[in-house]
Amino acid sequence: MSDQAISLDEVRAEIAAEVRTRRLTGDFDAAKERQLEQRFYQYAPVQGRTGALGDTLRAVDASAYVDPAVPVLSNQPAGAYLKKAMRKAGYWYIDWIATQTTRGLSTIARSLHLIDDELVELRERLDLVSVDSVPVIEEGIDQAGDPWWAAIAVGALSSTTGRALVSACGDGWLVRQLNDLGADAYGIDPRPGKILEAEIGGLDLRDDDLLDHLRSVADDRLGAAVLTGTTEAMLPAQRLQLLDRLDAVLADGATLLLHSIHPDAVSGDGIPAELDLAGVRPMRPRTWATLLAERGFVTTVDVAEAGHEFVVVAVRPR
Amino acid sequence: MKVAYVTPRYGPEIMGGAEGAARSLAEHLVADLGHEAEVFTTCAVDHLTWEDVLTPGTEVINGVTVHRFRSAEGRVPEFFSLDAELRASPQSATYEQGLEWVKVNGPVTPDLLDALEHCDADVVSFYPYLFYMTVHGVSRVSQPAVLHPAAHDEPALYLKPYADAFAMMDAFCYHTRAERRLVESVIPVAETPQIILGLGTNRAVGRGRAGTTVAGMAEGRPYVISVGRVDEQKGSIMLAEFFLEYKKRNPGPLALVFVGPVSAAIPDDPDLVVTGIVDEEDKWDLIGDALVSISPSAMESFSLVVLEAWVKGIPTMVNGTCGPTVENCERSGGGLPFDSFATFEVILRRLLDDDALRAELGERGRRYVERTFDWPVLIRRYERFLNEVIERGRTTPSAKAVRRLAGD
Repeated sequence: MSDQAISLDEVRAEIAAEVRTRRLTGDFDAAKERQLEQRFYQYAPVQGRTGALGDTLRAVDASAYVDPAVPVLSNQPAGAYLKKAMRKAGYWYIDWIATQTTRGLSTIARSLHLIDDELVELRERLDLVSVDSVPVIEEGIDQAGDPWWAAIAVGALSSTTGRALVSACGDGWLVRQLNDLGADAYGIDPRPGKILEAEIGGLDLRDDDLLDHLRSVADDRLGAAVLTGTTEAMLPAQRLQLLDRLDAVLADGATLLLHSIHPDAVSGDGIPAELDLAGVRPMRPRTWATLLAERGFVTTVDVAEAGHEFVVVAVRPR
Repeated sequence: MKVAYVTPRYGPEIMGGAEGAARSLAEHLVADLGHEAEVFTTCAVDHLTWEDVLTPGTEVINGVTVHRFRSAEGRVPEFFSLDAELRASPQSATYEQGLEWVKVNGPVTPDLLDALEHCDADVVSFYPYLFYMTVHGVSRVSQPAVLHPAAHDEPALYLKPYADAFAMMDAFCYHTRAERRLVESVIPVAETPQIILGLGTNRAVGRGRAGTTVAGMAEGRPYVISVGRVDEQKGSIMLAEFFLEYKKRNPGPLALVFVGPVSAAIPDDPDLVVTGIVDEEDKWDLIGDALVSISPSAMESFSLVVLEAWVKGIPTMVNGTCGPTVENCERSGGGLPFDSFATFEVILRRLLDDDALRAELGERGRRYVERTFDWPVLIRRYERFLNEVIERGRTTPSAKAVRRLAGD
C-alpha cells in the first residue's frame, strides 16, 4: 500500500472532528469523562511549561469536584456494610465539607480560566506583530556547487578553536567541509527534512530555530558561527536579540560570518515570498558592520560580483 | 575502542529502561563490532532501596566486564520528605539542597568513583543522569565523558547540581528529539556535541504460537496489547479503566492483554488479561497477533515496546502527553496519540474498524524501525559518534577543562 493511499493528517482531522461532535451531542457522560480525565492526568508530565495551559486547565477542572460519596467497596465480607453505615452516618457532614471545597476549587479554576482567556487574547494580538520562527531564505545560493562565499567561510573558520555553528545548514555541506579541514562544526536548520539524511549519516545536525538554539547555548562557548539565509526575514527586534545572544555565546577570538542577500537585490518581483510575508527587508552590510563593531567585533565586508549578496566577517579580539 | 559505562544497576535481571539500554549498547559494541566494554555499577537490583544483593567484584556478562561495588548508602527515609519539599519548586532549591537530594536518592558509591578514576577506557558513558555516580563521577574521569541522560520532565532535572554535571559532559546521546529539547530548555548545553540515537530493536523471535494461546484466551478472540511494566505510574490503571469504559460502550469479544512485571492491581474483569513476565518468544507471539499496541505511559524517555510493535507491523496508540512516544509516532506515521477518554475511544474504534488503516500504520512503523533502529544500523552510528568524541578529546580541551579555565 502506498503512502498516498491514506493521509494520516486527514485521519487525525477526522478523529478530532468526531470527538468534537460527540462531545457536542452529549454522547459522552460528562461526569465519567471527568473522572477518567483525572486518572489520565494523574501521572502526566508537568504541563504549562510548554504552553499546554489548556490541558492543565482541563486537569484542574477534572479535580475541582470533590465527591462526598466515599467508596464503600471492601475486601472484607463485613467491610462494605460497615463502610456504608459510616458513610450514611457522616454524610451530612462530609457533604457540607465537600460542597465548600468544591465551591472554593471551582472559584480558583474559574479565575485560572479568566487568566487563560486573557493570555489567549494577548497571544492573538502578539501574533499580529511577531513570528514564531524565522524562515530560511535560500535565494542566491547556487545549488549546483558551492556558493561564492564558501571559500571565504572556510578560510575564516578553518583555524578557529571551539565549536563552530552553521545556521540554516541544509544538508550539512559546509559543516562537512569545515570538519574535513579540522574544525569542530555542527549545524542547525528549522527544516527537518533538509537535515535528515546527513543526520542519520553521522553529522551533528539538529532541527532547530537559530534564536531558540542560541538561548540554549552557554555563554562564551562558541568559537565561530556562520549565518546564511537566516537573518533576511528577521524582524528588527529579532535581529537585535540575535546580536545580543551572539555577543554572549561567542568566545574571545571567535569569528562570525554572516551571509545575506543585499537589500538592493530584493526589488520588484525579485523579492522572495518569505520576505514579502515577513514584511521586512535585509539589512545593509554597513549596518551589520556598524552594529557588530559597537559590540567590539572587527569587521570586513565582501560583496558578490553582481552585488546581490554580501558577507560580513566579524572577529572578536582576544 | 574501549568504552566504560557507569550505571546504577546492571545485569540480565534488571528490567529498568536506562540500565537495560546501557547493557544492550555495551553488548552490541562487543559482539557486533569487536570493541571492549566494561561497566562500573553497584550490587543493587531494586531501584527503590538500592540494597546490595549481588556479589561485589568483577565478572564477565556476555563479553562485557562488569565491576560491582557496594553502596555506602541506598535510598534513605529522609529522601521522601526532602523530595516532597523540593518537588513543588525545584528551581528554587539551593545547590546544597540539590546535592543532598542526589545523596539521599542513592545509591552513594564512593568505592565505585575511586575505581572509575583509574579506568583505562577511551571514553566513559554515564547512563542515566539522575544518580550520584553521574553527578559526582564526571569530574573524576580524565577521558571524554558522554551522558545518556534518559531525562524526563521531572523536578530533579531542575536541581542545580545537575546543571553542573551536564555542563561537564563532552557529548550527549539522546533517545529522542523531545528529550534533547527538554534538556536544552532547562540547561544551556546546546553547543555540546550530540547524537539522537534511540535504542536498537531486536528481530522478532516468536515460536509461531497463536497469541491467544500464549495469553490463555479462547482461540480467535481479538485483543489489543500493552507491553511493559504493569504499574500505576506507567498508566496501566488508567488504561484498564479506559478500556473497561470502552467495552461498556462498545460491547464485543475484544480483550486487553497486559504483558510485563506486575506492580499494580489491575481490576478483575474477563476483558482484562494479565500474563505477567513472559519470555522473549512468547512476547513476540503475543505482539504479533494483537490488533493494536497501546502505550499508556506518560513518562517514557524512549519506549522500546512501541518500536517492537512496529517490528511486527502492529499500529500503536500512545499517551498524548508523552513527548518521545508521540515524536516517534509523528516521524514514523505508525501510531496515533490519545489525550482523553474521548480520543482513546474514537481512535481505538477507528483502528479496529479499518483494516486498511491498521495495515498502513503498521507498515509505516515497520519501515521506520528498519531504517533507524535496526541494531546493525544503530550500532554503527553509535560507534562513529564515540570515535568522534574520542578524537575530539585528543584535539580539544574537555568540557571539564574549559569550565575549570573559565573558573565556573
